[in-house]
Amino acid sequence: MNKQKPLLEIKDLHAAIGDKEILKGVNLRIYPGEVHAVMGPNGTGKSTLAYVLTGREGYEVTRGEVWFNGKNLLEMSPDERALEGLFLSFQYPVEIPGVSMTNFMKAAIDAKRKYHGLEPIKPGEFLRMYREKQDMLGLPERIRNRAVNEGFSGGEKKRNEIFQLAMLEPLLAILDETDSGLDIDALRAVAEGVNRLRRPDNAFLVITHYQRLLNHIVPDYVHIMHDGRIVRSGDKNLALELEEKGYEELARQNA
Amino acid sequence: MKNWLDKMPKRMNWTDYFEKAPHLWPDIAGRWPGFIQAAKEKAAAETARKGFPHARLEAWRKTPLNQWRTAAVEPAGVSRRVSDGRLFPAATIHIPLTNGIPVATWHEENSISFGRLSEAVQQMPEVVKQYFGGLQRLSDDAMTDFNTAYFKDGLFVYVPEGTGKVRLEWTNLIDAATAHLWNGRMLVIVEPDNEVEMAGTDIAEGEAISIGTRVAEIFVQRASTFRFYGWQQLNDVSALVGHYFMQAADEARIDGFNFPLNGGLLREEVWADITGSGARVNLHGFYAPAGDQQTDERIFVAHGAEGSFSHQQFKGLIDGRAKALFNGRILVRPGAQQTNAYQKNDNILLSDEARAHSLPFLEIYADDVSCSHGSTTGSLNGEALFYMQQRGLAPELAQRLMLYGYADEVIGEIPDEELQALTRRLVRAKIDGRLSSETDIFALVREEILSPVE
Repeated sequence: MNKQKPLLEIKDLHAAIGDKEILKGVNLRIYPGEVHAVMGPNGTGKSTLAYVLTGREGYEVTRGEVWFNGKNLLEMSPDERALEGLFLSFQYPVEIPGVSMTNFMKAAIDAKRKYHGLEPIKPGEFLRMYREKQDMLGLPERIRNRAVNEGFSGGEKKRNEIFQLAMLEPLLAILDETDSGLDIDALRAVAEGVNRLRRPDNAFLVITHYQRLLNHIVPDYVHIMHDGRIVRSGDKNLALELEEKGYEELARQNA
Repeated sequence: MKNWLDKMPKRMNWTDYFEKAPHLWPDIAGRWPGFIQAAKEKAAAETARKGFPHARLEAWRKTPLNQWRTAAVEPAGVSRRVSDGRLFPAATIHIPLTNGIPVATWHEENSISFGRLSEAVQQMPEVVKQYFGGLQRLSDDAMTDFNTAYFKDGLFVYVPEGTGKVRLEWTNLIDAATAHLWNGRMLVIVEPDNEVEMAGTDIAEGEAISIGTRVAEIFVQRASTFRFYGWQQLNDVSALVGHYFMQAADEARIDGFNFPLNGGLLREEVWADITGSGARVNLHGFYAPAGDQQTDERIFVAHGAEGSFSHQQFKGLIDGRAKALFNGRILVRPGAQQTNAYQKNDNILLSDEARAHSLPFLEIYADDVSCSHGSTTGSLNGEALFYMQQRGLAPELAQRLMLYGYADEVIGEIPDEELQALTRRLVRAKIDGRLSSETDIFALVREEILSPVE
């Protein structure tokens, strides 16, 4: 067994939107260096899990605990969670007219540096890093310094999420349906980017509907979510089994 | 023209000035030549006939004037106060105005003539006669009649054909030491083949009520460009109602930028009359009323010739109990084929009591045209705020960046980079709550240039 301390520990997490309970007791432990995949049909609470972890408004945690890097995650504001090293690659990245990607990233990096007691990044150093990461991810020239996500295609938005991930170097990155809407080339590019960012001290939580992304980002663990709970966990072969049998069958086996 | 004002009652309510206009004749006639006196006499009668604007009039429905209608004000006298504040570094001509009237006398510089209208009627009587009053008839607003009846003098600028690039700036000091009424007038003639940029700042000094009206008539002739920039920095008990009438001839281009900063009521009404084919009109504005302030942008673009283009872009940020009105109108006259006209107005409300009224209006009498309009009003985008917070930005910083970006979509359209940077500083200061009606905007700009943001 892993002797390290878990990076993320979710214990019996229940969460609701209004009166509707969506998460009904999620348990999950993620150690540094691991890639976990959460799979499941629509409406089982996968995205809700991502939003609850990142602190989005409108979700109420009714029971349970979440510990991130030894700290009580649920007590932190969304920006504090980010500064502690939690990153969400959004399923639907938001367009922010008038705010340039460079200004946005500079502000984000400086916020993180300040949080860790460091001086703001030097403009030269920032630009070097900015270009380097864009090159690494093969970002199309046309989106390199536009307003955040404005006028980007679906695939460009997803790539831009991974670019931000590369810039901010979080401890735990949640990829929420990063594969949706991507053609195979874009999917491969995004996956390659993620693979290059894997390190022994960080971890990934990949939320996906289909198995195909997992051909490219190979998970250490696969969890199947159904009706607000993780109903089965296994290694990467579980994803293949799922692909073969479908959710219904697996859920039935489990019940 | 000395002191016809002295014979008038010392102080009256603004409404009384409307009712009594014909009775104050010949006091308000001044020593103007016959054609101007005739215009004034007619306007005095119209002012009384139409009466003080009321809420049943479409043009004033969303603009309550209660605060000012019964304010006792006296006509602005002669003030010796002058502002040498400047916002347009590239301008080579600077014209200080006090209560709407140029301080310096007649000037001729590189074939350009400028000065008081009362001097222009002596120096270039034919030119004034040809143009004076030629555009204001587009509007039947009693405020324009009022201005015509009561204006005492104004600014005249004449740029003859082929002068080339001209950059000028006026700074109008409104002497608000005592409650007063001022009526400014402008007549600007840009003959063919010129590029004229005019920046204008209205700034009130003092805490008393000031009520100002302005009628500007601007003729932009064949293949000339006229670009204007406006900033208004008044106290919160003062009002400024400005009408800017512009005519664009063949292949002429008009670009306008307006930035109301502070003031109780800042109302800008632009009439762009496109009479020439291939003319282009771009009008932009960013307003951010807070507290109990109100801003009005009434933008009328009339296409009267083939192949002309117009664009209206106005954005607002409304806080406190403030109100903002955008009334954008596009009129395509019969025969104005291949017109391209569009209009966009966005408003962000920052408080529950803030109000925005967006009233677009398209009137099209030609069939081969492309016109569109769009309007949004809402609160700050919560999704975008969360997105930015998820990247580690504190909510206040995220909001500020978003609002800066929102304003930059207008400011970024300013072609002059210096002017763009300077306007950005003023607008950002207003967004941050660092620019109140008491702020010395010239000092703020100087200060911020010494310690630039970002």
